[in-house]
Amino acid sequence: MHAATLDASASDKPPLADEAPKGRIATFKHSRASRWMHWINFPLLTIMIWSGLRIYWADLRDPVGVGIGAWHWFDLFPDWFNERLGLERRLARGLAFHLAFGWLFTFNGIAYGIYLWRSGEWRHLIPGRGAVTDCGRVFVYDLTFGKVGTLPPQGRYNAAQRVSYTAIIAMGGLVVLTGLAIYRPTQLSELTTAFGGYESARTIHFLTTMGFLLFFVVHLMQVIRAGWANFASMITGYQLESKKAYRARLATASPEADGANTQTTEASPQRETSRDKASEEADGANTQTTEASPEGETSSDKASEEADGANTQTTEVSPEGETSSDKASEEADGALIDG
Amino acid sequence: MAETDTERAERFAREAAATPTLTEAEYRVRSRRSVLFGGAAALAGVAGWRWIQTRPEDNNIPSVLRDAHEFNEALWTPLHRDDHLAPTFDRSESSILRVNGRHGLRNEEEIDIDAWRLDVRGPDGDQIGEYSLADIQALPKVEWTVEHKCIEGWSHVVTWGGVTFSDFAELHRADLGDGGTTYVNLDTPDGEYFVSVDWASMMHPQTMLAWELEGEPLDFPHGAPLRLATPVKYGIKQIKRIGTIEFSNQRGPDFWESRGYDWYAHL
Repeated sequence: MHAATLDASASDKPPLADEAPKGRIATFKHSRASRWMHWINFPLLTIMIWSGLRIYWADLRDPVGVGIGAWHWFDLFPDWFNERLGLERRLARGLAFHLAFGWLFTFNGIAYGIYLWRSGEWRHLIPGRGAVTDCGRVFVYDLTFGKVGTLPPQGRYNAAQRVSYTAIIAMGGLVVLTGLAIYRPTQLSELTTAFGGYESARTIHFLTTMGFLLFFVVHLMQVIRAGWANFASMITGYQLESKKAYRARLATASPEADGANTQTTEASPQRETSRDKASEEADGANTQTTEASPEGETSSDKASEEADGANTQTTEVSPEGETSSDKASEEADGALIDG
Repeated sequence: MAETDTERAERFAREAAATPTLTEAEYRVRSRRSVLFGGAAALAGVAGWRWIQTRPEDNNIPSVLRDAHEFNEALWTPLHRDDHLAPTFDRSESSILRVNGRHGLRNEEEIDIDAWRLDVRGPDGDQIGEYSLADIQALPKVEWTVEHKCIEGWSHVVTWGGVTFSDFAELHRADLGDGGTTYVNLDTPDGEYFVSVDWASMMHPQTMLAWELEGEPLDFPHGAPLRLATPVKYGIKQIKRIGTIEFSNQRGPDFWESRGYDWYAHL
């Protein structure tokens, strides 16, 4: 994993080798580069939207709205918003900030794109082939409170997150390109024409901004919902979770709704894994069934606290990939959901 | 082959197992360090923001933002392509432009067009020509329909008629030499409105001295008798009711630049 090479400060001890059987463990989540670029982007995008609105409201006679023909549904950024924030009559400064910080926003975005590509981090972000189906499954599962279907297995991000995080990067590219198209519509007329002309490029620019604001609201709600440890991981790079949750995650990345029988053993040649029946609670002691013993046997017993402790030195999952079919704990599930 | 849920779960579990971890104690150290660094960076950001706002003003905006405008100008000037035309539109798409500014027109709502003369000055300030509207109209007339863009954001498809500025400047090639001058500075007769424009933009094939709008002679609010019209600059540069044209190697005063706008105002 390149994650390890990106942030070399990680401990190379076996994950659960510290003395205490209980307690918490922190797992690498966001590289230093990602964290910096994320937090640099936040004020930059805020400045871009703030200065952009000063430009937008320079022309109060022609608000860009949504409607068909004479039917006018709504204006983007309505007047009351404008008045409340005191953004009128600030065009010169709006332009000055927008056209200066636009470069910083662009360079940060380009740096992030290059970083994702060079580091291989993009693999965590781009939606897989079944992303749409996955999103549908999450939707159905959540709407029926888990009564229908199963949740698709997820890595660092679930399908919906992958779709939205990839979309937000694409929107960043779109907002820069439409920005250039309206900044230099004569010199870059080919670009402007590609967006359907000046007025159309402008509208796309504004709609993308609305998209950013919408993303921000949802992102903020999700981050609040996912809790402090997840938020802190965007600052520290590591996400703290209970060891129980961590083991559950190693056992399987998927909270399987219908238990053990959906996955049968795929033991590595040298080792045998036996399966535990998934209990309803599933977040209990059986999560350590993945811990292969050096001799290649895994206990399928429900582990007591002591057994758990005793097994801690055998926790390394073989790269050949034993998995447990145990239902992941709610905690593990929760830990993976973030904004 | 699509990966099954099981395969996928296994893959993710392998990834999770290979992901570096920290003990809680190590995490605390790291967390403290991150908060310190992050806090310092946030403070630096706030300080930087305040620093920008508190720079002495250069033409009505903080000097660092004026520098940014000049950076953009330096970046785009070499990219300006003389032969690269703005898109043109079908005549049927164009209509009368709204009147958006009366600076330089307020002292006298109407002027005597027959008495009006265009005063042309050379680099040393001496008069090198004087033209009546009829003199200008005797030059080769062009007409096209382009999108007029206001720095406020709106745009309007409009048809201009007049003479290209490069044809007009040709009259003074002997005075100016082949290379022309660096700038062209233009004023209203009362001197209340004034712009200065880079030579390359003035020589652009779509930059014209216009006396017609939508096939009709310009009315006073739109800049009669003669105005600048060009799709390479925002409307703020397209001065109405031109009184003086000065070919100069010095950047003349610019009405909107002094009010905080970008001098280049290019499109």
